Amino acid sequence: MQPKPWPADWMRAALSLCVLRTLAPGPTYGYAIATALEAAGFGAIKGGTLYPLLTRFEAAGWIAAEWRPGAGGPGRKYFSLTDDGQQELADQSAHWQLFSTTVHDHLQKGPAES
Amino acid sequence: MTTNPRDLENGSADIRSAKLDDATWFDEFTIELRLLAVPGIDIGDALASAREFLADSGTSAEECFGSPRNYAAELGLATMPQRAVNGVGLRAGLGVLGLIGFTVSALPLVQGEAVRVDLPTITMFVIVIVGAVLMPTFLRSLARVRPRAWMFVVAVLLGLALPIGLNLAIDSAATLFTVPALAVVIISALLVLVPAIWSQARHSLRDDPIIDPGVTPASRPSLATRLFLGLVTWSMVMASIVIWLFALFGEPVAR
Repeated sequence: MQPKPWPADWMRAALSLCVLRTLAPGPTYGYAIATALEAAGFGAIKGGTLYPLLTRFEAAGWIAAEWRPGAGGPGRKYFSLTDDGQQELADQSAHWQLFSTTVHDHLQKGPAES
Repeated sequence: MTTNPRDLENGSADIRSAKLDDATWFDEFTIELRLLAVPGIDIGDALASAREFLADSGTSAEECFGSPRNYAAELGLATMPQRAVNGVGLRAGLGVLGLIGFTVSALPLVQGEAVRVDLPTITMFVIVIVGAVLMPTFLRSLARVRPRAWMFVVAVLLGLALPIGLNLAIDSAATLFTVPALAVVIISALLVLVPAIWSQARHSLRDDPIIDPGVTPASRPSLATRLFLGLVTWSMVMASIVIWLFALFGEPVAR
């Protein structure tokens, strides 16, 4: 059975960080990033969602892009994390962990009694 | 690194093999990026990226990227200064003014008469000036219109009806004042020639072709591109020559 898609708001909040994490093992290309995220349980990621994020990361200096030649055309555009991108991934991951724990604790315990 | 099924099944597949149905989407996406004044090299990169993703995913461009207009805006690519784009409208407007100037002054100069200025002539000049000012906005809307057969019919009818209507209006209109024909001819020549020369210089200095990734831009555009740019750049001058040929030789023939 197809799992229920994650709410769009949640995806918007988490996708940037998860795309950065997908790039951590090494250079990869757009469709491979999308399939990796789908395999991880995020659902189908469309090119219209992914590429604006990658463009933003590139402008911020977090990733570098390189076209590698293909058999019959310009080939594939590979993206890799820069040093700044790795630092950003580490910072955001730590911050997200804190946020996630905060949300989890709140959901478990409810509001603090006054 | 994640693998892609396409690599295993058809490693030699050309990433340009996007579906024919997507051709319109790519055309509109290119227009939207041009309207946003994205540099040609970045447009080439965005087009190739989209084609690459589509070739891998096997979906349609519309399904994968949404509307060309939204996707072009959401990509947030760096843009060139908008002033350069507006200059195109200004130069075209000046050229049209010069052309109208020749239309009203060539024959009077040949016949040794002054140019009679009336209300329809003034209205025509005002419409062209307003059109030149509004050209960037107008072009933006026009570029997004999908051509339909009835539009061509309307354009042809307008093209025929407007000159006839204007001629009738000018013939029956009262002359408000006269201007020496030579002065109008000189000003018109400047209005036609200066924008053409300026455009020619800018083409050679600031041409911005769409370049595929990994392709070294040609040191000069192809012959077809140069011919097209030349025709567009010098179209007002060529139309002026036709007006002058008519003024010099058409009138005696008409007699």
